[in-house]
Amino acid sequence: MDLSKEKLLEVYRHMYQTRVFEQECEKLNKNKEILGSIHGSMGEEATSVGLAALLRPDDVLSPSYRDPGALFMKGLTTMDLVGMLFAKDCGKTKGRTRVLHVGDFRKNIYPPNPILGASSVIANGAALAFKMNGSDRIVLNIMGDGASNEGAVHEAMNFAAVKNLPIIFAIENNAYAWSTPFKNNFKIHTFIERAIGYGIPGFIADGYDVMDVMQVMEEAIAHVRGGRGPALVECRTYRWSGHSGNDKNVYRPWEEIVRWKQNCPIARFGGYLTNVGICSDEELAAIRTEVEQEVQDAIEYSKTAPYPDCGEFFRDDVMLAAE
Amino acid sequence: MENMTYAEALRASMREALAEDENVFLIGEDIGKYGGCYGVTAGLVEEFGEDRVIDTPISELAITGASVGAAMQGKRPVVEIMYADFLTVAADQIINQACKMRYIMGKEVKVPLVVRTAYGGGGRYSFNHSQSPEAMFMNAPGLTILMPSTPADAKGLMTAAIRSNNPVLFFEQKYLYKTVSGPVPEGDYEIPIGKGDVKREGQDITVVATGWMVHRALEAAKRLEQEGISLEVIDPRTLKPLDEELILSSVRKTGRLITMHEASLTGGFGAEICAIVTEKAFDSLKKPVCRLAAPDSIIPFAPNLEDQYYPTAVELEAAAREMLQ
Repeated sequence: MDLSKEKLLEVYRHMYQTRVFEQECEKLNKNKEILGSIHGSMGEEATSVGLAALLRPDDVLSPSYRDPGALFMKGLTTMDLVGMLFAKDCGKTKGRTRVLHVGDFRKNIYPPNPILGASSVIANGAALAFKMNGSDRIVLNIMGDGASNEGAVHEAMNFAAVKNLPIIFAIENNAYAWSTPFKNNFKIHTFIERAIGYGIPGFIADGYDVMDVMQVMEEAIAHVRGGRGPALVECRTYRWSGHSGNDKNVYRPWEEIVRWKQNCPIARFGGYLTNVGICSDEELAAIRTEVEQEVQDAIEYSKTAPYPDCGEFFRDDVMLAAE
Repeated sequence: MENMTYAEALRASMREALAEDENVFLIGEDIGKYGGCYGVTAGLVEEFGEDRVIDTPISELAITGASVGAAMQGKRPVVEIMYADFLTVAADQIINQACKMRYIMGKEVKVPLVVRTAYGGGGRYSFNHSQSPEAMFMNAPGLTILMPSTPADAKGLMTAAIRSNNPVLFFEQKYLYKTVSGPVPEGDYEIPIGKGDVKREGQDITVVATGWMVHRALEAAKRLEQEGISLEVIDPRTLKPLDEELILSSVRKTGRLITMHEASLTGGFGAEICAIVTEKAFDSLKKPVCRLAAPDSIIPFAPNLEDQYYPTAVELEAAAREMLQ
């Protein structure tokens, strides 16, 4: 895997951007400054960013609802998501939806789905269209370990296998489906066993090591882009926060969370970058300062930004049928 | 004009669409060599190949979902769900996904998707192969629902459905596939979505019927004519968006309304028609509205029981006579 310094720093930036975004989400949610709820991804930055890092701009990303990292990597901005937290007009969907429904047609982002599993079958459709067009574009569909037990996911994986579709199903195995630990939801030990069941190759990555995630993705992408059908990638990761902003996160020993925090994927990647001499501590610190400022600016702006115009909303033709 | 069965008319439309637009493809279970459970797609895979007429595993969610995703890429998928009873398996994709994508993604995204399905009774298949679940989908914003009763309407509406840039749920009455034939315009023929049709003009009572029941209503109208009772039979053809004006103007003329469908009574399509008429043409009504429908019970297997289950022409005649008392 030969990645430029620029690319590596971009990956670092989006991992840190994800971290700060999630930290601020927690604060805003706790202080009841934002609407709805949040679904934090702290601890999973290497997985989310790393999965999307090697996609081409014309590849389709179909993320889970816990993937701001992948969304930032694919080109959404801090303001796109922060504006959505406040349901303001400056957010990506202009107050129409929560963050867990965010898509971007031009950036080739299919929306995540709170109806778990639903996005896997839809992602197949983009892959089917690419195959029909004879194009070498591919699709990345990301889900959590919990979502992988939906019927739609089983149908999607078998369908993609049978139709030889250019799609990667990536599973962010973060050890808990909301409150339920992995062992209570699965009799398998790794998702590679599922891949075998569908007759497709399975890969496994250390989801706390973004270099490993990217390395595995490079291999999976080569397989899929080469027209050899779908692949499954499992990333072993861990969620620090509760499932959502309302989750008191009391179903696991706090020491377990502390243990995973010692292995912080951002600190780990930063340490790698400086120790192998790709960049200096100062360069990383400058990126962090920039990102923090960017998130703060987006929050301050969104707080006072207008809500969507009511009259315009109900006249808007996204409410109506297409011509 | 060419004489065709209901199934042949549907096939003719899909055949023309496949020839006209390379983005159109058909997808479903056993629709290729087998030609579909009712033979509606027979011969199309031989003509257009396996990439345009796609056989799939038995996975209604995967089929419908892939079609949503492909439609967002500019394809025009035509899904076959073998029986309308199986729609509930794919309902999440139809209601929560296909109809919401444009809302989420904005105006650049269109979902030109057709989900066609064989619905209704008369086949002696009992429930889960005979139901009429159209009303379950009436409450889903953004969904177009079509239900033709004649071969000509089947062709014209299928053409419109495939050309539509929005999700369409297309109900094909399975008993009509081979039992009904009639003249069908040759070549390009499209009936605009949202336009109902007066199948028979009359003065005394407006009967709004759908699918198979249109034929029963026409049968009743013919017999009642001999008694001097004149029914106006309206087939909305598009259940949603509804041709309200056609129905309202008819009721303003006759002052009486009977609805007739083979789905169960409660919360049915007929209830929606009655609500609209009482809301918007209440002053024209000379008698309370009347709904003929199947009972709120399960479709039986025995032929004598099934025949009792759906509204009949005789029941409509009785209801009409009573209404005119």
